[in-house]
Amino acid sequence: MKYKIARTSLASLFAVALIVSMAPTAQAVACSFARAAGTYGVSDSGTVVGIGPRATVALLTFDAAGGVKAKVTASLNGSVTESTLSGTYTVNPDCTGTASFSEFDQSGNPILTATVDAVWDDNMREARFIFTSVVLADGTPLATVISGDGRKLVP
Amino acid sequence: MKRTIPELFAIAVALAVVSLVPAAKRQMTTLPVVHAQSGCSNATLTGNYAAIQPAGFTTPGRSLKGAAVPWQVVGTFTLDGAGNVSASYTAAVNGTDYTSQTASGSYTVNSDCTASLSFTSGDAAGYAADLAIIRSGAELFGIAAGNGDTASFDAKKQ
Repeated sequence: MKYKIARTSLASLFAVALIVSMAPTAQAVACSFARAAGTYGVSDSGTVVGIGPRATVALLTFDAAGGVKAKVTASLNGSVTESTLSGTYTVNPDCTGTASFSEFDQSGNPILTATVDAVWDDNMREARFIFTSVVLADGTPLATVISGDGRKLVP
Repeated sequence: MKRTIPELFAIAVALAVVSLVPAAKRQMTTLPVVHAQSGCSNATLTGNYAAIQPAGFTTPGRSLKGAAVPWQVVGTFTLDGAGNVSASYTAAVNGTDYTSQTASGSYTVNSDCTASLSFTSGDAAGYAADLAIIRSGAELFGIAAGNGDTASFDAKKQ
């Protein structure tokens, strides 16, 4: 009888140890293209110095190979335009990153190029970004103070 | 042990009243009960946070006088759970971008889950903020508390 109880206890302990070892660890997973990939709803707001306030909403997709594209509706000082953008992005293991892209009007003509610095949070469900440069197609740089965030449509 | 009809009736009424009390209580409580979060400490803020300060303004030299200019920030905080904070961020001030900025300082969390933070060295030395901690430290709201600064921010755990 004692032997049977001991054997049952050992089996139970083994089962518990197995379950515990299979449980997901709480360690943070490094950020990567694969984890950033997805479609995000994006908005930003701020100022183009000397022109006026700017606000944007966009549907943006990061692919798993470092590419980014988006459909954008922007309002600059009350003038609303629709455009598309495409470019590249980077992700560092610490969840910071950058993006560099060109924006085009609905006829495909280039409007501007821009760069942003970004950080991801909430287990890469959300990204925050700030513009670090904007240059019009004719080479004119714009002074901007614009930041925003994007959230994955499907977590 | 046989019970009389009046006794049985009295028991039935008593049971009915007891069963109706919870339902009546539910109907009387029309407003949700909200409990203030408490029990926070410096250890509540531990880890890496991504932060954004949208739509902020500052005056040159952090003066109380002068025209405010737009000022926005995106970056990361690292809070060590013991009152030490470091930050890495990009800022835009009136159209000038400041990338690869760093700062370090300290923070103090109160038991009611409010907190204060100040940077004492680096690019943001002199910056101070008051904080409100939500979701057990998963997110915090902040407002710049320095002269000339009008800005709030949101930070979430990465």
